[in-house]
Parts: sequence; C-alpha cells; structure tokens
Amino acid sequence: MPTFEIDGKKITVEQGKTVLEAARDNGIEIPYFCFHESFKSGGLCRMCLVEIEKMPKLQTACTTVATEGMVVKTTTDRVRQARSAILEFILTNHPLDCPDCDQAGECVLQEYAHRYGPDRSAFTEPKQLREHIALSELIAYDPERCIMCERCVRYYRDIVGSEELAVMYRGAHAEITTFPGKLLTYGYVGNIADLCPVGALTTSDFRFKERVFNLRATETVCPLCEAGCLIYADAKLYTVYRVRSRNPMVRSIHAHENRNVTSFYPKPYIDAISRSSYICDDGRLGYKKLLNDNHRAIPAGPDNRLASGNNDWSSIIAFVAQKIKQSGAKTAGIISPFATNEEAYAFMYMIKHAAGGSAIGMLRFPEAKEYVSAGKLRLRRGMQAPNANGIGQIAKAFDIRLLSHDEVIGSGPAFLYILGPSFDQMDPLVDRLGAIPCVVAQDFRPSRLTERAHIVMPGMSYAQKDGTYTNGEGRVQRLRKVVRTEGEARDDLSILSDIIAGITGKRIGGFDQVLGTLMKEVPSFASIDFDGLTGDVGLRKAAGRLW
Amino acid sequence: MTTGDRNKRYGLREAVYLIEIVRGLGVTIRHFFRRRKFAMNYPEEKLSIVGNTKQIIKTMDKDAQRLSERPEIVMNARGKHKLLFDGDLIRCVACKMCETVCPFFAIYIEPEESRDPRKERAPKVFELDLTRCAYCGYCVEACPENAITMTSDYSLIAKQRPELVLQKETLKRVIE
Repeated sequence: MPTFEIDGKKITVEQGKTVLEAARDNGIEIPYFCFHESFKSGGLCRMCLVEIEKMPKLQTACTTVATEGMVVKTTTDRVRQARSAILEFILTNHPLDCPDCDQAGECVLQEYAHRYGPDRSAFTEPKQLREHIALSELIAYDPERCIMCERCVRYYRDIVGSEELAVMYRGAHAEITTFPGKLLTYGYVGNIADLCPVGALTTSDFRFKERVFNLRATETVCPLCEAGCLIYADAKLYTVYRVRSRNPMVRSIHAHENRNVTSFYPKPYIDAISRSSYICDDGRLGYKKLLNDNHRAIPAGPDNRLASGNNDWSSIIAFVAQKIKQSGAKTAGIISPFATNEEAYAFMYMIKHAAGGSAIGMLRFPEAKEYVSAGKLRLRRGMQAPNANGIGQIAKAFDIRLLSHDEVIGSGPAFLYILGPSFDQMDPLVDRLGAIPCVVAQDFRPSRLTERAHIVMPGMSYAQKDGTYTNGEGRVQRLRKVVRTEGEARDDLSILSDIIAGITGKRIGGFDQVLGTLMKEVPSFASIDFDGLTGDVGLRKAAGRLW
Repeated sequence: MTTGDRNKRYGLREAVYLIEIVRGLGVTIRHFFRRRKFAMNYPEEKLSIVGNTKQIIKTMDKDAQRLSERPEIVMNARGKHKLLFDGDLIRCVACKMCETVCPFFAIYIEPEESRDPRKERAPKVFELDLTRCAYCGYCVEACPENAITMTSDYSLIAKQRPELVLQKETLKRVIE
C-alpha cells in the first residue's frame, strides 16, 4: 500500500494503481481521453500529463504506477501549458462546428476545450475535409472528428476479443477501419459509440434524432433478456430516443462533476457496474419494440361485452371483479415474464387469495442467442424477457406451481386473466380460447389476443412504470418510469390493486407498499434494502441464482 | 378641475353648460378642418420604412413632430423571419439551438444529411409557426451559423392559419 502525494494531499492506494486512478478516487481531476477502466492503458492521448518530482519530463498519469514517496503535481504552469498544447494539437484537424455534431453536450473534448483549451490556434492552414465511413449498419465513423484515442480498437481487442477494428495510416491521415470490404459483426457494435469521447462514432439509430442536452437520462433495466443489464434510457416527453450502457466512464464525465462512481459503492456493486459497462445491440435497439405508441383512447376494446355499455375504467374494473368473484376456484391466470415483481405479487394474490383459483401459468419466451460466437463478451442470457426468475420465486412463496400457458388453457377455466405484455406469444393459442366464457387481457400493445379477448385493459410498457425485476442471477433491480403516458392507459399494478379492492375490499397499495410486503413474505426478497434500490445501482443480495 | 369632487361649489360658467359644450365642440371642429390623415388603405398602402432606431432617436429632438406626422416603421423592427441560403445551399445546420431557445415552441426542425461537403447536417423540415411567434429575436441570437434573420416585413395576412406556419421554402432568401 504505497503512500504518495498529489497536490500536497497524502494518499494511500492499493499496490499497482496508477496515478490517474488514485487521483480520480480522491477527487482530484486529471483530464483524459484514452484511459478506460476495462482496458490496459495506452498513454495515447497525452492529455493526462502530470509533473512528478525528480522526473525531468512530464509523465502520463494513466501509465505511471503510484509508488511510495512520489510527489505529483497537477496544477503547475508546466502541466497547464502541456494540456493546452495537446488540445491545440488535437484541434488542428478537428472541425469546430459543435452545433453540427451529435456529441455536443456530452462531448469530452468540448468540455476539456472549455476548461483547459487555448482560446486560439497557431495553425492557419485549412482543416482536412474527410468523408464518412460506415463501419457497420449501425455505426457511422467520421474521421475528421476522431482524436485517435483507440478506445474502440482496444474494446474490440480486449473486451469483445474479435479484433475487428484497426488503425490505418499515420499522423493526420490516421483512421479507424475494418478489414477491407467487411463490416463489424452485429452483436456488440453499439458500445463503441458509447466509448467514443468525441462525436466520431455515432449510431445510425440515434444520429440526428435529438440533441443530447434536450434528453433526460433515467437509470433503468434492459428488459430484453434475463441478464438484466443496467441501462440509461434517454427520453424527452413521451419518446425514448436512445438506450445507452451505464458505462461508468461516460457517466462520470457527463455529470460534469469531479466524482467517481467507484468510490461510492463497495466492491460487489462495482463488479455489477463494470459488468454493465456494455450492452448488446438488441438491447440498444430494442426500445423501439417496447415503445408504446398504440394506446387505446378508451380502456375497453371495441367489442367489450359489458351489459351496461359503459367503457370507462370504473365499470370495467367492477365488472372484472364481479366475474372473478363468480368464477371462484375456476379462475385462472397467465402472467407474462415482463410483469414486475410487484405486479406478479398482486396477480397471484388476486388469483389465489381473492378468487381461490390455483391455475397460474407463465408465458414462455424464446431463448436469447449470442451473436458473436468467437468473442469473449457474452451478455445475453436466458429467456428473452426480464423477470422469469422473480415470478418463479414469488410463485414458490405462494405455493403455486407455475404451469405452461398451454396447461392453463387445457384446465378448462371459467375465467382467464392474461397479464401482458404478451408480444404475440399468445397468438398461436388464441383460437383455443373459444371454450373459455370470459377472457380478460391486460396489455399495452395490440395483438391477436387483444382482438380476441372479451375485455381489454390498456396497461403500460416497461418505460412507463416503476417496479423491480429479478434477473437470472437473482439480483433485484429497479425499473424506473422513463416517459410520460398518453391516453387512458393505467399503471398495471394500480389496475390489479383496484380489482383486488373490488373483490375483497382490501387495498394492497402502490409499488413501494407491495415491495415492502414482498420483503416480508417472500424469502428471496427478505434481505433487500429499500434504500439500495433507490440508489444508482439498484440492487442488493443475490438470491435464487440461476447461473 | 378634479373629477368627483362633490363638495366643490361650481361658478356660473360651469353651471351654464352651454359654454363648455361650445368649447368642446371647438376642439372637434379644429381637427375636422386640419385634415391630418392617420388611417391607411392597408394592405395596398404600407408603412414606409425609414432609417433605424438609432438615427431616429438622434433626430428626434430637432424634429419631434415628425414621428406623429406620418406613420412609419423603422428598418430594424423585428418582423417575419428569413432563412439564408448561400446560392443553392442552406446555411442552417439543423442544430436545434433556435428550437431549444424559443420560448413559445414556434420552431420545429427535422435534420437530414447535408449536401454541403463542409457541413454534416441540414434541415429536412424547418417549420416556423408565426401564430406562436412573439418576434423576440432569440432564434437570431442563438443561431451559430447566422442562418436566420428577421426582416421588417410586419404584415401577417393569411386566409387560413396553416398559411402562417412557414416552411423552409417560404422562408428562403438567397445571398449571392
């Protein structure tokens, strides 16, 4: 444990930590472009130069290992001049058209040019104009904006392991390329746009769509497979514009604060964050599949068979509650693994305790496949739905054996409640629903099922509600409301809770109250810390592991 | 004479209303023969554009009457907007600064790839809703490319509201 000094501050760090990491962990800012926690330092950008006593030249903080008795200075005139000169050099061919560039607002170079940059350039020569190159269908590369930090190249070498990117040519002509005539393999391409500190790599998905300073980032969970990657969903009003990984580097710079994620959390959570530094392309583009632009104007479907003819929420909830009461033990339910833990609890409470039924099934979604077969990076796991593990654990606590949706329909129920979203998974079975006298579907997206069901209640998509998901590892993670809701759709949990109140007269409460009940009643939730869930990482306790 | 002073005792001249009526009519009759004309045959006739505010303020002391004589509009008044084109190419880079700064949400922009090799993006759609605009000029100040200006064209005449939502083509002004 060497002890050394930065700017007059005595710091003790772990053996082998670099000066840059040590400074960052202790709230001293050293600017950098190329350093990233997950790769080996390259010392490529020269931005992190610091003065170290008894060393004649300035040293790169990202490659210098902290040793006993070292004296580091980051605020001397020499360092300041070096930073300014490096920025001037980087900006010789970098276009100064920030309004033109998609990165403006979250650009590290823009930020540093303001803080440390020179106000003029000695170069009077015209800047190079260079054409865009498509590195894949998802990524556009702009060589004139590139600062050659090689984060993307090192990501492909060290993290993905497929070495698909390389630097070609030298000096001012240098550029990032793939093998001639080849594009990057779909799978983990989008991450290089997150890694890029400038606007050189942009995703075609988000390119020109919206300015980043108009977007609000919400910390939430990717719902597309059981891995449950932690993501940021960037949204404005009713629309999600993009999904990013919760890359700790990118975030600490975006926050425009001199703080570091790693210093806030103990070790297990850091592992969880760094595991979530990257997301797959399906997760990155998947928000489109889950966006809710098809809200119905009225809660009920057009052919809802209500005797009174009223299609407003209160009559429909009263009708459904009355039907469940009549059906009693012949009430059955099918739950989608997209339902949150709280909804699953309310649903099972409704079927088992309020109605007395026991036939509860879970929809099965296809398995998530890995795209890059040769690579090291493997994120996609389990079913292509987020919460199968959590629903299984809650069913166990209720003493319910989860059936398949086939078996539930086969058991001949008098009343079938399908808690969506079902994403067309129910479609092959819709024709078999004919024998059931009353089918209720709660979904946010029209499908064959919602056309066929007797009562349709519009719920919300994952981007519109609060809740928790339990991923395949057993981590309980927080799902947050990202966008506002249009139309008359209602939060799924509040619909269920109103129906339960209609049957039993007892209210089960909102998200936080149900989560409190879960902590008391379901063993695998017992050790969850509620404050932990409201924090950034949103997880505690790995229980009921699948892998 | 203060109005509503009920306790005041009026003299004979006030008590006999006739004199005051004749005095009042005198003002009317004087204006009738003076024949100074304020109304205009708009929109055939329009306000004449004179100098800018600075010049007018300078000459105001000498010619204090001038402003009230004939209705005029100054050259730097803020009227209908123009989008500037360099020849065939639009200057706007669809950076949405004006859209962001606009307090009335009057501007809507959709970007696309630019044909100009020096620029990355250009507006595919540029809509400016004059029914929302308050002519504050923030968009002109926010523009990093000097692509939008305001003219002294103050006349906003349309038969239907959609005509007042200006598109890229209707806002065009070519700078040679």
